[in-house]
Amino acid sequence: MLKVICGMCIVAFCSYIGYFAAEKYRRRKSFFVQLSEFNERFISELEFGRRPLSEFIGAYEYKGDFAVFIKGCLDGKISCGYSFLSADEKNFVNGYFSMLGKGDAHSQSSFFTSVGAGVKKYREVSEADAKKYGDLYVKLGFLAGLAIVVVIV
Amino acid sequence: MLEFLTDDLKSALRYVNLNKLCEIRLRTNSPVSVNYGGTYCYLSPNGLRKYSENAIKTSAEAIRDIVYEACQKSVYSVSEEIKRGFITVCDGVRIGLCGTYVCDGDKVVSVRDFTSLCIRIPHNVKGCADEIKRTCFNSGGKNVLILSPPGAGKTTMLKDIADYFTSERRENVLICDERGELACFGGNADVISYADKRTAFIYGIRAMRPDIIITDELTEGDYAYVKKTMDSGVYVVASAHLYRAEDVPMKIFDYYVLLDGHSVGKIKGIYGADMKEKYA
Repeated sequence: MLKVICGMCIVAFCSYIGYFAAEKYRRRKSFFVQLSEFNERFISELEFGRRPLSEFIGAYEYKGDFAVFIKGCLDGKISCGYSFLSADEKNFVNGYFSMLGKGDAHSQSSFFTSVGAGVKKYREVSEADAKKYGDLYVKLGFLAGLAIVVVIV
Repeated sequence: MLEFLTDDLKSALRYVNLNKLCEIRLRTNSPVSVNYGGTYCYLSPNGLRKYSENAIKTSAEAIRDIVYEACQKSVYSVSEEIKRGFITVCDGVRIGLCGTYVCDGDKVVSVRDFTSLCIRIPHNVKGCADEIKRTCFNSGGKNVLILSPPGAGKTTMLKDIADYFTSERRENVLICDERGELACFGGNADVISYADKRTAFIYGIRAMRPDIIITDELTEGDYAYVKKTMDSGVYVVASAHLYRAEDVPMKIFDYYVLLDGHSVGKIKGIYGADMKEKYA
């Protein structure tokens, strides 16, 4: 009985390690999904609302890394250094936010509509990666746990 | 009130009595000049100076940053104001903009690459319009037009009149604040901001049933709407950039108050509808 319980614990622990290893893909996905939503809302805001950034950002709820980053942007700290983003992605995000609010409605709308394709692409890639690697890492962890149990028993 | 300025300007203004500061003029790579109690002088790191030698100079980047901060880091949110050449910041501080105008035909699309800013600091001077109140409003509401060149105190007087009608006479006052400068008088009035006169008058009368409308800077095309407003039984107190009562396009007001363009807040004369002088 003790062996069964220990085996289950090992499998669960290894699966968790697999889940944990895939965390960066989930964080990346969450970041780009929120960025994509932000971009769409902002383009709409430029058309109809035109509230100042602080008011516009405060009107919606953001989570995790994106919430921390966007708060920093409001304080003038636009430097995205998240390790789950590639250098290319960091440059894109920094470039995106360094343009935020720095032009009239017409030029801002043109700019953020044109970068919308890039945002969408990053979102799709991050979603696909999160799906692919998230499941894969959990499965690998589970299998590794089973292998350990088999070896021990 | 002036938090949007750069650190060196804010630091220099610590040595200045802000109650007497009317205007700050920033020009690219030129000394900062200020209108202090009606007199122009220069702003140095240690306060005001008569000559420009030690005056602070502003770079193009500083001017750009000031506009960005004044817009709460959201230049797009004031696009319409920028097209009209100014933005209004908190507490009625108005920033006039000079730069490259982007036009589409005869329509201004935007203004970019700002080169000069004229920052006008409003003041509430209680009682500055006492003479107007005594001469024009002693028998109740009247239609009054205040005339002067820019910077003579028209808006400050309108704010004092608005305060008088709301707090002392308890009338329903509607402020049609096209430039965002009037509404900060602190009284209890209804305010329509940034709408043109036609829109503000039509919707304001329909929605708020005012006894009196107070508005700033009438232009030639606005007088027809003012007349319609008066015909509907609502009094109008307004201002215009003119320095002679004869130049008013439509003589529809009960009184014309002419301010002395050389000293702030000084009344040169008050004329009746018949253009006869009532006060000098």
